[in-house]
Amino acid sequence: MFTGAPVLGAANPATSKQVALPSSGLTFRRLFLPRAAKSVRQQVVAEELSYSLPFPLAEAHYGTVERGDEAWVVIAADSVVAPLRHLYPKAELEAEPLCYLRAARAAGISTALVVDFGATKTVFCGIENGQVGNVRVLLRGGDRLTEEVMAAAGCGREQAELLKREEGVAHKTVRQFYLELVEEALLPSPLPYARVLLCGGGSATNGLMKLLSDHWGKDVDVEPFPLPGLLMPTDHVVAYGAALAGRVAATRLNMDHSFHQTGRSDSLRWGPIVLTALLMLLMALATETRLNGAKQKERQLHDSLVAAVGPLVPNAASKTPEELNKALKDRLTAQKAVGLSSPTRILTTIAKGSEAVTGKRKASVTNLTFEDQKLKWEGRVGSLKDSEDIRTSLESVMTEVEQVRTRPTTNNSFVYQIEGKPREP
Amino acid sequence: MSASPERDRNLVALLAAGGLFLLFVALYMFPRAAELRRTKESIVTLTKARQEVSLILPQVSQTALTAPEPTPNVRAWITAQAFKGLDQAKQVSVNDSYLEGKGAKIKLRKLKPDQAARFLAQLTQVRLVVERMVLQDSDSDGNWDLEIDVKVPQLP
Repeated sequence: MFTGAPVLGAANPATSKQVALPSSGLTFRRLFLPRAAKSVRQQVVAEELSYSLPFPLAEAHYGTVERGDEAWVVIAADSVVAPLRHLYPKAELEAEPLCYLRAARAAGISTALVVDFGATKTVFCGIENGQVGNVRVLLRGGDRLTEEVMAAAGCGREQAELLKREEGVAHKTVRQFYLELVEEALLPSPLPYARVLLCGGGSATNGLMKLLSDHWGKDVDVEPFPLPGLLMPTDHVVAYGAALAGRVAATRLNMDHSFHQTGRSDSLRWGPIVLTALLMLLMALATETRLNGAKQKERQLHDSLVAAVGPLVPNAASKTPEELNKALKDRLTAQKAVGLSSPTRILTTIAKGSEAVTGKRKASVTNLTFEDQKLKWEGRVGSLKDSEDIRTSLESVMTEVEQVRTRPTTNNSFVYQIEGKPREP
Repeated sequence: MSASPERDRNLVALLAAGGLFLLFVALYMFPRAAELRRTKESIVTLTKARQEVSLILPQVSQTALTAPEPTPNVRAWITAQAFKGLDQAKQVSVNDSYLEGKGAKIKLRKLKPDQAARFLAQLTQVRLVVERMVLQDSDSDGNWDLEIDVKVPQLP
């Protein structure tokens, strides 16, 4: 019963377990924090504690319960945490006072003084307005009482244990021991709590409740810590409180935080690099998406162009758009040139042009020459006016028509030469 | 615990992140951005070329050469088809080897106008172009001498 060992409470057996660090290994601070980022508040906690801890900050674990601008900080030396961490590597490290708090809250109590009479220590934990107000730990408990009874009665340990339990506070040494404990706790007088909840093995001592009730006066109710079902206040308060940490929205802290780790936080160091890498990844994804889209469109346009001019331009797939365009224009120019030099075009031009000549009296054609896409008409006319009329008429079937030469002959007629290009079809 | 080492670590992390980002920009973003710019320029060029092709293609189609080439060669085809109805005496010469069978130089003498017209009309049935032609009635007697060089057109 009076073991004083850390208590394991299974909050949720499937997921986690809480181990309550004994109050004797903890120190507590109430700090006011600025409204700032978590890292800044962490820095403030570190700075505040660095001036007031009895051991180096780098060798401590801590946990905080924050409420508004206030933080309740529990600190434990690494030497306290390490053995427990070794025993329960997967459990969450909790603080004993929080277990009292949760157990009291579960019983609907928001203000009370919890007194835990343990084997090696006695804890006075004031709960005020649903929060841990103050904690005092006296490193004297049931074991020390047994030793004092042994000394007073001059008997052995087993007999002293028997005497302690049977007589209770009726035994002078026992009564004096408990009254001294209460005095040494330096509690305010009158006691600012209407209820005192007793727990721990020593709380079962005969007459203890009446003794304490008489000590604090009739305005204070001294009672055993209320627990549900078969749970005993002598054994199960801390374990029950630890188990309650698994409840949704339960007040809890995690003592796994270490100032040593905070000092060289990997998250701070890698944060910018990870963010940059993420940014680069997003940029790369966006760039590749845009590039792929552009490439696909380029491919579609190229394929469309090649398909359009492929039948007309050899090796179209290997040519640039400019080359394809030029090849197509060259092809069109060549086809037009062929059209202008085709027998059909020449025959049509001669047929239509002949009408212009034969419509004139004394006009004839004696020579038709086609060369370099130019058709030259040569013949005789009665007058220069007729020659000009012929030239004008030929403009309907030829372009760039011009009178090349006109000369008189000996028989009152004129020789004319008119040339031009057959019109495009 | 001192804040300076923490600041130093943060500074190193920021510098490392900045360096990483600069490397990324220099080795990846710049080349990829250049490639993207080239691709976009290519798209503009291709779009423009496609639009021009869309304008040219109907003209190419309109002026396309649909008549068949003379077979087995120009001279043989002209002898077999275009000289029909002409006396042998009027055929002065046909140059057999002109353009290795892809063309012909023809001289015809004293053709009536209808014979000249029929001869030229025959030439329209196949894919030929006239390089040079002289149709001459030098003594104004109504008989025409014809010199004509024809060839199969070669398109690019």
